[in-house]
Amino acid sequence: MDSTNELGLPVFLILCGILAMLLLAMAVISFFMVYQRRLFKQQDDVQKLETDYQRSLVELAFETQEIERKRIASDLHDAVGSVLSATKIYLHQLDPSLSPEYFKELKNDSTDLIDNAIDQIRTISHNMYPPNLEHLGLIQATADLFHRIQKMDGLEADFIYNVAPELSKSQELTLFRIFQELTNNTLKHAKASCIKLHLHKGSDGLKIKYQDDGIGIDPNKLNQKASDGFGMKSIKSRVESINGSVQFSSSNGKGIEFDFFLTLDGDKKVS
Amino acid sequence: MVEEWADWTSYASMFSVIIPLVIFLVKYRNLTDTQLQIGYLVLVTLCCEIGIAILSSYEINSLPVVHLFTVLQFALLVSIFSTGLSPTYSLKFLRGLILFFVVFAMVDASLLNGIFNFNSYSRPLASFLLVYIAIYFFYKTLKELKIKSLTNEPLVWIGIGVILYFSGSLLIFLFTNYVKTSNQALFTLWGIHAIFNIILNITYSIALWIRPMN
Repeated sequence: MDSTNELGLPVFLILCGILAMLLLAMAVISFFMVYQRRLFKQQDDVQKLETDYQRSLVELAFETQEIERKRIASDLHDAVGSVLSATKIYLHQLDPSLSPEYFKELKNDSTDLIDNAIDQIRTISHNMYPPNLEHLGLIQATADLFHRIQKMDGLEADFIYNVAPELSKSQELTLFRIFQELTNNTLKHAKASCIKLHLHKGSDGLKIKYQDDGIGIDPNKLNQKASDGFGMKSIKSRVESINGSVQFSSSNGKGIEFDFFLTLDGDKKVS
Repeated sequence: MVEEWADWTSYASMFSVIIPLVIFLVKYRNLTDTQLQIGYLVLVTLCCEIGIAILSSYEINSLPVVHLFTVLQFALLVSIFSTGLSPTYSLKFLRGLILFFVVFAMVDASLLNGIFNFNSYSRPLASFLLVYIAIYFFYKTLKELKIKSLTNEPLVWIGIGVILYFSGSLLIFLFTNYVKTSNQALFTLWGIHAIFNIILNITYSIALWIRPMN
């Protein structure tokens, strides 16, 4: 006998259950499709950012190379070139028919000019790659740099450190280049009377503070490319390449301050 | 009216397996390993449909064929998903799972429901396991993000078909023995099941039709 009437409610409940299960299944499938699309979009966005960042780093490297080449070319032309040209003029004048006194005077002047040219080339060479850095390390090379600045440019240039940190060759070179560029920028643009560089090796890492008392810089112009030096972007990428970080503070008329921090491998405690 | 509607949907469901079969035969040479396995599943489904139709025409109980089909369908679907589940679920584990299910189905057919009654234990178990496998495959796909174009991946379509069919039919499988005293209830529920079966066959067809990207 057909028991339809007895099964009306159970069948209705089963049908409701089927509908609920179906809706749940469709929700799961829809969630999967939508979420997967969103994840891929996020991945694409991140990849694009990374690609753009890599491209900007490559562009920066090329630009830095060109700036450096320009500087070397300018130094060679302005300093060495002019001196050697003057030397050539003096040597042209040398003639056995000249009086012994005048001949000697020309010879001495030519020798002085050649000595000058040798000094200029030595200076350019040291700027390109200081031999002290290779043989005596970062501390001595930086001390020599600051000594030269004090002697030649008349600024008060203080370099203070507590202990020589143990750094790799690439870390020393990178830091020295940064110090060179910071001091160059200060000398060229800041109209400063004092430069200070503090280097402190602690148990957590290496802290470096660079300060000058010059005219400062508008913080909004930090990431712009400097016309003849590195911008903040370049300094930041150089520091990050040796496992470090940098913070910068400045305002118009109040000098600049760079704070660097480097994590050192196998730090020894400072005694 | 319900009976007419159930008849109509049953015939439509039976013939809907022809669509994926034709696609399988036409594209046989260009199919991937996964698609070939889907094709074999379609062939098994067709054979069982024919068997059920023949037995029904002679008014012979065709439920033994359903028992056999349940085992074959489960084994083939697990095998189809095996590439998508590795390495979390190894081939060894999945073979063990298939073996376990075969034993359970035999117990259901011999001791629990009997071979001439609907397998209301093994078929719902198959539904649970297959829905879990399909959802896990989707979860793994989201985690690994290896498949960019979902609509070009056969396993995604099989997953959609499995989730829709087995989720929708689960309660039918569970309660069919309970409502078999009422013809109207049976026709209603199995008419709905026929619609889910058509959806499943459509997803098989799409899975066989598409050309997966490497």
